[in-house]
Amino acid sequence: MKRIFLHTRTIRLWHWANAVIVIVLTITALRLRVPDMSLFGSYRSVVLVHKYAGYAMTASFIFWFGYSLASGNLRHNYVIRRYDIAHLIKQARFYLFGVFRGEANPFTPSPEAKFNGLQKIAYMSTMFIFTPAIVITGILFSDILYFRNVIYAVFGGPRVVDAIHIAVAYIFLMYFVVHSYMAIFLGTSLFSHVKAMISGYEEEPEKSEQPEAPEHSGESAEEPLKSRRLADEKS
Amino acid sequence: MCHASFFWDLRRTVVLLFVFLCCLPIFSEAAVTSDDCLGCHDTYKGYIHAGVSCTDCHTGIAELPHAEKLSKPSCRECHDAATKRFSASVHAKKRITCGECHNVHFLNQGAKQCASCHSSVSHRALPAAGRHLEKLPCVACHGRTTTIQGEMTLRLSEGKTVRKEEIDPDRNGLLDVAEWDAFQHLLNSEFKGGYTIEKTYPSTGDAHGIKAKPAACNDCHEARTRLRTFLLKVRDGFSYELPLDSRILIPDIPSPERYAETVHGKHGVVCSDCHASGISVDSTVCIRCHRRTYEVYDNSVHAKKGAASCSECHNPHNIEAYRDLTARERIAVCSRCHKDFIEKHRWLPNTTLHFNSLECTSCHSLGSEKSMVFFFARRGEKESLPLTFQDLAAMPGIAGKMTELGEVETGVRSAEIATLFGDLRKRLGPRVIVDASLLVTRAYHDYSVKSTREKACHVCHSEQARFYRSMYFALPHRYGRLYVPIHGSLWSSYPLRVAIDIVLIGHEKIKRADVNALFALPSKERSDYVKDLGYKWIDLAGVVLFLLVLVLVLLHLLIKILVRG
Repeated sequence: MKRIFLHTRTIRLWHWANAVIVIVLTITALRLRVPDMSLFGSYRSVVLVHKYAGYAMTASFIFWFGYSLASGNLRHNYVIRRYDIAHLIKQARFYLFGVFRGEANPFTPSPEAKFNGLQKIAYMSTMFIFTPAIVITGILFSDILYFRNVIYAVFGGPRVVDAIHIAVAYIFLMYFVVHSYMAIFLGTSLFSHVKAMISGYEEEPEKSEQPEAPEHSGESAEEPLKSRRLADEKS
Repeated sequence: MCHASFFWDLRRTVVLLFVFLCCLPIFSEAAVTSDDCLGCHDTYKGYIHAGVSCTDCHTGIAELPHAEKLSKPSCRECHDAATKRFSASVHAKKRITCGECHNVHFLNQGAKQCASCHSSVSHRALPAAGRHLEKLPCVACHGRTTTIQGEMTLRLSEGKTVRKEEIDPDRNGLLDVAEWDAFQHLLNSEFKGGYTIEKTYPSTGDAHGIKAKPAACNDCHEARTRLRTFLLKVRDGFSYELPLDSRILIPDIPSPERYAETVHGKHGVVCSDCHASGISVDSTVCIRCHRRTYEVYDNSVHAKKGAASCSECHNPHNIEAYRDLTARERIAVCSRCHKDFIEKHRWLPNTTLHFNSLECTSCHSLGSEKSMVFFFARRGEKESLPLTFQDLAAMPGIAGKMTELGEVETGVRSAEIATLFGDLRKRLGPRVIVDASLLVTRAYHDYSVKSTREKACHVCHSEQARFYRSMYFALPHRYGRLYVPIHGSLWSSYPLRVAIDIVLIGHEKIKRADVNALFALPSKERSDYVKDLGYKWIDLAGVVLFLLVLVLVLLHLLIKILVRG
């Protein structure tokens, strides 16, 4: 086993702070969406918590965006390259079948390239489509009267804003389930991805330890960026 | 040579002209001058009449001594417009001449005032005669053309200031009646004893065009044809002026025309039914017809602690059917006393937004019937305003369709409203929307409910809310609004373009009952039911997809455990 440093301290802190915010938003959203069940708390206090957690989410998103832009996180880890597209099917096949057969993950993360193609698609859409959508619609809902003109001019009415906010919330909910499952169960060992997000170091099997190593695993293990650029150029 | 001759001619012309002008006094010396007249008529020495000479008015004097009988001076020669107006006045009919009011030889001594002749004006028929006579000149009512202005000057004690935004919260640059009511409350609470209000009514009128019949009360108190600019002048550290609604200074009064359109008028209640000679009208008169309502009200806390008589809330001369009042107009009735209703409801999220669509009795009168009332409105910059009958009357096709819909007693179907709405948008533009208010459609006069009500959002924001069982579309009508019951109950089945403007938060959430109903139905009817679900689809799809993802993830985990251990 070797240890690769994947997550900077800033990203780890942001990840867990964001996780707390998302969990608070999800729980309060459940109370707001199903008021008849009166699950917990007074409706008014839950509205307030949801509202302020939403503001925190906005701040968190802005911070992530600024930090990622400045640190190169966006450029390294989020831009989808030809290599990623070419290996999407291989990656999907691993999650659907290979993982049961004990195959090694065809993608090995490195500090320069943390995510495989599927992850990139998931994180890109989350951070560039769904999060901005839910944050913007949430802010519009924080003061319907103040944003009235925007709501009508841009979206067509509060119902549309509501529909977008709720639809994205369900997408987040599904994302949350899949993300948690993969983080806990699909690492090298149980909770290894979670531990990595705490310590910053991901445990990866040595080359020789990898059973039935796929052809391209060598490429990505040592010099992923370089080899990927070559792959891009070739194709 | 030619040039020299031209200049010679020009010089000769100028010299001749100069000689002629110098001789003018010598020529005029030959006519009769004012000084000649004043030589005999010395009582008029020092006369003042805008520089005219005696012979300008007393015409026909060519030499002195003049003929004994001269023609009467004619004021019309100079004062044509005024004499024309005067000739149509009651004074002219009484053969009063200009000179009887105007001292024509000494205009500086002023004209006679009305009171010079009309020394005792009792005005017994004029209500509040003292106030009217004190504030207004005679011409304000008796002149043919009159303009009355209004000025209310507010002076605050030194050091105190009031900002324009506090007086005009909606910042539309006009102080309306509701804002004035609210501001008075502020004056009493924050500036008590530290301010003065002076009301004046500067009026300009035509004293030459005095009518036999004075202006009707309606001219000022209803049609307001004589009224011009009305201003609030604030005199404190920052002096400023604000136009105000004339009704603040000159209130509406009943008129036979207006009364005929009120509920009392339409039901054939005549003046003498209430105004029996010598008896002042109080609630006992109302009880003759409204006994049951009064009994409910009389036992309520509101009656015991607040307004005791019917007329404190209702103006019997101006009663509109409760259904004809919009939510805002209904709030205006309560807020006459409950001026701080917004402050008291700060606990309610989006307070003002709620009060745009609710009325007070929506919550404070449990016994009343509440309904969801939809109506066509035009979206403005700050708020939406209901479309009136006048807005639609100009469109024959639309007005006809409205009348047709109004006659449907069994209820109107969503598709019919949608078609009409489409037509309206085509003609009036995209600012036309379908708006909704939560209104009381059958009033119950016990407003004692206070503080005991549930401060829980889901009382209204829920599919179970009572008002969804009674939904109406209010169509504007010549005499108020026509309430057409809405066929069915699922407003969400309306096309998006209609429903887009209505936010019924509780209405859009999927319930177990919806799902059960969906599967209980025969498969043929399911597609219709699904259409009725509207935005609930988001919840339905969201929950189904979420469960699917959860099952797949669990399956993945299960296989992983079974295969890999």
